[in-house]
Amino acid sequence: MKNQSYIELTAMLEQKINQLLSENKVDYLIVYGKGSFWFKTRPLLIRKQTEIEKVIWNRFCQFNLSTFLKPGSRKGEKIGIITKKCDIRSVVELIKNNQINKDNLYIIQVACDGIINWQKLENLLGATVSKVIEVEENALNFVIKMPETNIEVLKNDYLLDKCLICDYQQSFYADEFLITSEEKVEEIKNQFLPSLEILENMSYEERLEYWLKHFSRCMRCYACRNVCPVCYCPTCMFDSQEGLWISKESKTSENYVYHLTRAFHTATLCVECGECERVCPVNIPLMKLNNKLAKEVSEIFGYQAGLKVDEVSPFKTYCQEDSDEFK
Amino acid sequence: MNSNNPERSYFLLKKSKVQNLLSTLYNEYEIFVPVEEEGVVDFKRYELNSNLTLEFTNTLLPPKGLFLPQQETLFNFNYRNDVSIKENIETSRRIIFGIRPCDSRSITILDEVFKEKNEDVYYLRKRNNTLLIGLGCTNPQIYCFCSSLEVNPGEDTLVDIFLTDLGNNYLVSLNTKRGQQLINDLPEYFEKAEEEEIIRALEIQSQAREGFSAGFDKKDAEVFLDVEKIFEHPAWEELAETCIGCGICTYLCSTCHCFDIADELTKNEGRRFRCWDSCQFFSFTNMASGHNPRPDRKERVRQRFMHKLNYFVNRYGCIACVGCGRCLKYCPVDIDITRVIGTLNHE
Amino acid sequence: MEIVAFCCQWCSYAGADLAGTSRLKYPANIRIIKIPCSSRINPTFIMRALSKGVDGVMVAGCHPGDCHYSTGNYFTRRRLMVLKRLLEFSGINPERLQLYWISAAEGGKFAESVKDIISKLEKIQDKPFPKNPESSP
Repeated sequence: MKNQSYIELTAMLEQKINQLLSENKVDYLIVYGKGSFWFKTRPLLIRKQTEIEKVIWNRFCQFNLSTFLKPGSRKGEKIGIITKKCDIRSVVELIKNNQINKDNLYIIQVACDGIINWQKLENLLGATVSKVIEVEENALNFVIKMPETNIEVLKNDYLLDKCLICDYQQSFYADEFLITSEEKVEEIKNQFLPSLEILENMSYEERLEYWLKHFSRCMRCYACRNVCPVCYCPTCMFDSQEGLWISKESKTSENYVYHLTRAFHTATLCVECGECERVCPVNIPLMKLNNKLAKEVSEIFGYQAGLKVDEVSPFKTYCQEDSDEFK
Repeated sequence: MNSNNPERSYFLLKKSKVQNLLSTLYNEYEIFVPVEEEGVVDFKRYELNSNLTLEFTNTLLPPKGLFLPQQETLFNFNYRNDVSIKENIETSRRIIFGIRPCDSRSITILDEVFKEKNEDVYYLRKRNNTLLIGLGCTNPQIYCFCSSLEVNPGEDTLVDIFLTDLGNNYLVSLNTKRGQQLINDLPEYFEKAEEEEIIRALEIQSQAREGFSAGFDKKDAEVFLDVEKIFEHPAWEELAETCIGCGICTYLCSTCHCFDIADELTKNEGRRFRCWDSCQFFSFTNMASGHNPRPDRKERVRQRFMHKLNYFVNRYGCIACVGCGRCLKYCPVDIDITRVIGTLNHE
Repeated sequence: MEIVAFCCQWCSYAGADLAGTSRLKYPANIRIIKIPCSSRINPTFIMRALSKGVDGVMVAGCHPGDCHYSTGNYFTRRRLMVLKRLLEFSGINPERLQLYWISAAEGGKFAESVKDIISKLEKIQDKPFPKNPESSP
């Protein structure tokens, strides 16, 4: 989308929010606000009409705001939430698992045609990132305008992975779909995600080495767990006082147990929004675990998380005829 | 540590000689250098095949971990027949090569904490055995704000030996006798610096303070000293609404030093270890009775800022922040200490 | 060889008892942990055991359809199917995790199952999880 479209969408969004607040349809809204740098955005909760000017919508709205719908962080009020197509899937998961009541929720989906991975942009530009005037786009590239030069980068290299397979259409569960009149949402792109094959073709020992190397860097800040919209247990088993399932030390073997458990617990819930991998300060490829589990769950049970609110998750039901591979 | 300043003298170290210098020192010292792995630069033990990099702004993890490791066995014990205790105290001589001025300042801040009242031998033994070789900073990241916190990125007198980048060479300035000794022992690597180079280095050092985009006014931080005024400020509630309660800010902070101590027991023997802990976690203040004095995220978020800008200042006389910018860069929800200071002043 | 066995208290645990009272011989490599139902298994139990360097984990529950709580073991079956693939993907040979259905009357089957998992583990070439991953770089 053109920069102009984002400006228009922001205006439409402000108008919509104003309406919702003035009609008392919601008590507060979870929106994107301006971050500390031009390429950053931050989640923001607004309750008053005077705060509406803080709302923004642009190519850098990475955060999956549905994580603030988790029971721990809300107080039973009516909530409005700004979502992208991908974020709605985790909202659906929360509704499906009775973590939030659909009636208390107003979902605004805003047109989006891909979100820029700002970390990649930062890695590319280094300290000069502060000098950027604006980012525009043409058919294939992002054009980063600097005072002296323009840098063009391939869109697909700088979008989030999940954007490559997104269709950007209106979601069935959106109460409102904001889109500019001129802008047509592009057709399905049919791109591929980075494949798991390389890892799948390794031997067990190579794969174990691969994961141990990555997990050895983990310092157990628990950002991956806390940011995850579907990690909604009131008290995580790793925080529980009843048993010390993993040591407080962040030793590699303990990290291994932690990460595998986290991945397994969110299997059938994970909508592959990529937040855990994005927030990881030490770059652990967590999405590889999540993608693999989603793939296996879909192969075994034919189930994909976050599509319909009335589906039953495969771990919550059973079938007497399930294949018994352990025989 | 004790900077009984010898007369200032300058030397030159050719960049091409750095590897050789390190491999010479390798025989006598444990050396920690910035190493790049998987796109992440961190201080790692120098090995002859290390992927040493000196073109970095700052390491991901602060060097506090070299003195207060994320996990550290304090002692092993055995109570099979008699009770015996074996302490685990590090005694090897060590060098940290390439520590940035903000980080070396953080180490001196931590020294105060671990020296106070009961000396912490685990920390201090490592600290006293370690020689710091600092590296001046000329290219601040957009997140850096050390200039707001009495750190001079261009010149560092807290380290034993300080290097200023001159392109092909480093200008070596000596701050302590220990540093002087090291240079005297290895004359083959160091040349006498010419007047012209010294002037150029001083120019680079004085220019280093420029080019910062983040930061705050020193006066603004003083608002935190008034607990009455600040403790129930509505801003804490607002911050808590979006904070996800992870430990990134505290674990990556170069001055945060809270730890937990626990025992690990097996049959007849065990060990006591300590590991980092974070005030952002619920379990940090949770008591055995089930009561938690900081039950909500609001109290925990507030604690982090109050500790840095009030409690620490009252106890040790300085702000427990060095402006390294790690928390700004890695916070998933973009909570920014410089902005928080601004908000509490102007709203 | 070290094997941890999680046995359902209503069937397999009693099956193990029966194997003992019937004086059936089976390898002494297993350590049995009694659980209320095979679906009590949290994947962490298995991962934790494997990450401590044990060679294999055996989960034993009631035959499908015979669960004391009606349906617990059906859930176990589904979960372990996914867990097995996760273990495989994270570098542990999936053969190291075995699930058996053993009733309280099947002391013989319990002994056979222990022999079976051991014979399977003996065939595995790759090493189990290192006991001290920190020391190997």
